[in-house]
Amino acid sequence: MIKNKLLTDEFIYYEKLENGLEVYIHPKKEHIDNYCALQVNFGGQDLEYNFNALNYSLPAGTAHFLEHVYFESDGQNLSDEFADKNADINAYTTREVTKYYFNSQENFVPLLKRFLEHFSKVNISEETIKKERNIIKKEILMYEDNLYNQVNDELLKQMYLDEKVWIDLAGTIDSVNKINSYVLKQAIEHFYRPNNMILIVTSNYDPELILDVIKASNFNQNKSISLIKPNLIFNLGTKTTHDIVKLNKNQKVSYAMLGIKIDLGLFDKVDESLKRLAIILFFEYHFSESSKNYEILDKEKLINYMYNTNVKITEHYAYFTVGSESNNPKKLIKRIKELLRKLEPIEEDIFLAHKHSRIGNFIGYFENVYKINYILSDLILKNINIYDYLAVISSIKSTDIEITKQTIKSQNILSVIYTDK
Amino acid sequence: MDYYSKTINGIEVNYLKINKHKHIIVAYNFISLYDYQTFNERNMIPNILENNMRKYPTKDKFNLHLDMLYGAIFKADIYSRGNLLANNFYLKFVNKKYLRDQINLTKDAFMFLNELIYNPKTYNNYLTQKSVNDQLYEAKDILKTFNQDKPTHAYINFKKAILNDNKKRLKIYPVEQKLKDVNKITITKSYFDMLNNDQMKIFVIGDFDSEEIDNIIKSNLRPRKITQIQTLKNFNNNNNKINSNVKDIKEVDELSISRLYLGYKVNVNFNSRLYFALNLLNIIIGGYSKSKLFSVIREELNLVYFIYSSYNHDTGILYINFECEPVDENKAIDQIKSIIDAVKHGEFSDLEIIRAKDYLIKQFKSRADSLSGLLNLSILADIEENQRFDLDKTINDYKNITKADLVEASLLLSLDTIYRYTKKDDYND
Repeated sequence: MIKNKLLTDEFIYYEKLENGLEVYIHPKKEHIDNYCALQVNFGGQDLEYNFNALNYSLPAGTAHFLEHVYFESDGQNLSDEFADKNADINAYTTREVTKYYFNSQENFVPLLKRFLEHFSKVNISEETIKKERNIIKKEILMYEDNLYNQVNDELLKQMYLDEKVWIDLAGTIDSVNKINSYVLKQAIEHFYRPNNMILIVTSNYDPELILDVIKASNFNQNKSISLIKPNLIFNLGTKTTHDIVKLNKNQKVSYAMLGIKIDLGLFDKVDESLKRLAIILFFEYHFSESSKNYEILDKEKLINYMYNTNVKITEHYAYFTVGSESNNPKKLIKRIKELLRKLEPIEEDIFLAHKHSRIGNFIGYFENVYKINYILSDLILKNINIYDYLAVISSIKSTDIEITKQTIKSQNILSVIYTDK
Repeated sequence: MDYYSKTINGIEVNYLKINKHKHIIVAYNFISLYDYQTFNERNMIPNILENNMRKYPTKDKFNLHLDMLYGAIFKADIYSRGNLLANNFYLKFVNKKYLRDQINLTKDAFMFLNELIYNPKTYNNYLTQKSVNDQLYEAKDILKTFNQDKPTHAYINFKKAILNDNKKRLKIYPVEQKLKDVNKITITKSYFDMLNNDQMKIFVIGDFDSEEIDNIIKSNLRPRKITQIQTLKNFNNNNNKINSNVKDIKEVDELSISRLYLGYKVNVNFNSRLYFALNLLNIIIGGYSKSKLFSVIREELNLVYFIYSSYNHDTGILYINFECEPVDENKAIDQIKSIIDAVKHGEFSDLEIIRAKDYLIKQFKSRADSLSGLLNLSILADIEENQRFDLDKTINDYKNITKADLVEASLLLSLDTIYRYTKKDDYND
C-alpha cells in the first residue's frame, strides 16, 4: 500500500488489486462515522460502447435503473440487512458514474465484507425490475415542472447536438420501458467489473485491516480480463439558433440562462489539474458572487438570490452557465454579453483572494467523513492529483487562467429565456 | 470535548473546545421574544447588515473579504421556536495550524462580525432607505419564487391551510400581509432592539486559545446589560385547536405530478416524555427508508417515488408529504390513514422500535461529530431548553421510550387537513 499525504495530518493509502480494482483508504481515527463508496465508471452518458471488439448500445437511463435495483438479489434486499445493523446504504447516478455507498458507526467491518460480497454476484428478479420501473417513471415526472431544470436542459440541447450531454439521467418514459433483465444483465457483465471501479473507504479503522478485508472478499476473486471501452464520441455541434425565448403565461417568474462552450483544445499542453483550476478560477473571477460583474448585475436589479453559475468540465467537452430569475430577462442576457465582451484583466489581489478561498474550502472538506469521501472520489474521477492539490492551487498564476478568455467568442455563447411576459 | 461558559462584558460566552476539526466557528446569538408584528423585520436584519457594511459596502467586496480570509463562511440564521426568536450570525474559518501563512484568523473573524453587526451604514440614525427598499424588493421576489416552485408552493399552502386558525405560528418569511407595514423606522427599531434588549450569547467551537478569545471579547465588544429573555415566558406554545372535521383542500394546476400533504395536529409539552415519543414515532411512521410509509406506499404498492413524515413541535403538526399520479391520490391517502390507525392500535413490532431508536441516536451522534452540526445542536438546546446540549442525555431520553409511550403519543394525532396540489388531467377534470 502506498501512503500519501493530503494535508499536514491527513493521509491516504492506495493499492491497485490484482483484479484491477483501485482502492483508496483514508483513515479518520477521531470521527465516529465510517463511510465506504464504490464508484462504477458507468453513468447516464454511457449509451453506446465497445466491448471485446463488438459495439453495443443501451436505452437511456440504464445506469440509473441499475442503481435502483442493484441492492436486491435473489429475493434479498441489502438495504434491509444494513438497516438491521443500523447502517445507511444508498446510491446515485451521475452522467459519468454510478456510486454505491454505505455508512455506519458500528459493525463496519462485517458490513464492508457483506457489501463487497454483494458486488461479486447479483441476481435481479423480474419482479424487482417491474416494481422499480413504476417508481422511476414517477421520479422522472417529479423534476419535469422545475423551472431551473427546464431552462438548463433547453440550453444544453441548444449548445450540444449530442443527447449524451443533456438527456435525463433517469431516461424517458419510453426508454425506461425498454429496459429489461436482458439489458441490465448485459450492463452488469460489461461495466460492473473491478477494473472499471474504485473503492474509497473513510473510516476510523486501521488501513491495513481494511485492505485485508477487501483482499479476502469474494469480490477480489472476480478477475477482470477485458477492458470496457465506452464509445464516447460526442457530436459537439451547436444548434443554429443561439438565443431562445419561450413564453409561458402560467409561469410566476422569468428565468434566463446563458451558456459558454469552452474550447478544451486551448489546454492541450496543460496538466489536467491545472487545466480544471484555470477554467474554474477564470469564471469564478468574473462571475462568482465576489466578482465585479456580479455586483453590476445585482446593482442593476437584473438578478436575484436565485443567481447561479456552473462549470462542467469533462474529458470531451466543457461549458459554463450563468443564470438567474429576473424581472428583465432579455436585458440580463444582453448585459451579460456586454460584460463578456469587455472582461477586465485579472487583478492580482482579487485572484489571490480566490486562491485563498479554494485552499480554505479544500481544508474544510475534511470536517466530516461524508464530505471528504465524496470530494476525494470526485477528484479521482476527474483525474486530479489529490496529493498535490493545494500545491497546484498555490502555484497557479493569473496568466494560466487568462487562457480561458480565448474561448469567449460569439459562436460559443448561447442563451435561453423562459418568461411569463 | 470540553464545554464551559463565562460572562464577559455582560455576554455569556460558551466555549466548546474540541481539537479534531480544522475550522473554528464563532457565532453571535441574539435571543428575543417572538413577535408576529416584527417577524418580517427580524428576518430582514441579517441581509441588511450583510449588504450595508461601511467597510465592505458592496456584495462583491463583502464576499471578496471572506475569500481573502481563506474562504471563511458567513451565515445568518433565524431560529424561531416556541415564544422565542433568535438572530444568529456565524463565521467559520480555517484554524491557523493548517495555513502556511503566519495569519491568525480568529481576531479577524471577531472584527468582521463586530463590523457587520455594530457598524452598518446609517443616515440620520436610521438604517438606509436603500437597504430597506432592497429588502422589500427581494421579499416580493421571494413570494413569486414560492409560487413558481411547485413543492414549495404546496408546502406553504398546506401550512396556511392547517394553521389558518393561528397565523402567528406559520413563521414563514416573508409575511405578505405585513410587508406594507415595513419601513426604515420599523426595521431600525427592530435592529436596535436586537442590539440593546436581546439576550446575547457567543459560541466558540473548535481548537482555539480561550485566553486569546477572552481578550478579544474584552477589548472589542461593548459591555451590555445582562438580560434574561429566555425566562420571561413559558417556552411551550402547545395550544393547537383540534378540529373534529377533516379539511380536504384541492388546488388544481398545470403540474407534472400531484403533491399531497396530510397534516395531523398534536399538542404536547416540549421535552416531555410524549415529546420524545412523538419524535420517535415520526421515525417509525415515515422518518427513514425503513419506515412504515416508505415500506408500504413506495416499496409494496409502488404509488410514489418518495414519501416521508415530519414532526415539528413548534407548529404542533406531524405531516406526511408525497407525490403521486392523480389516479393514485385516494388510494395513497386511504393507505396512510390505515397505517396511522394501525399504529394507534399498537401494530408495530419491537424490532421497528429498536431500528427507529438506533437510527435516531445515530443521527444525533453524527451531527454532534461535525463542527456545524454541533453548533446547531448547541444553539437549539440553548434556545429550547436554556441549557447545554448533552448528547448522553439526549440518547437516554430516546432509549427510555416504551411501546406504551409510543401508542399514547399516537393517540394524540388528529387528522386535520388533507391538502392536494393536483395535476390537471382527465381524472381531475
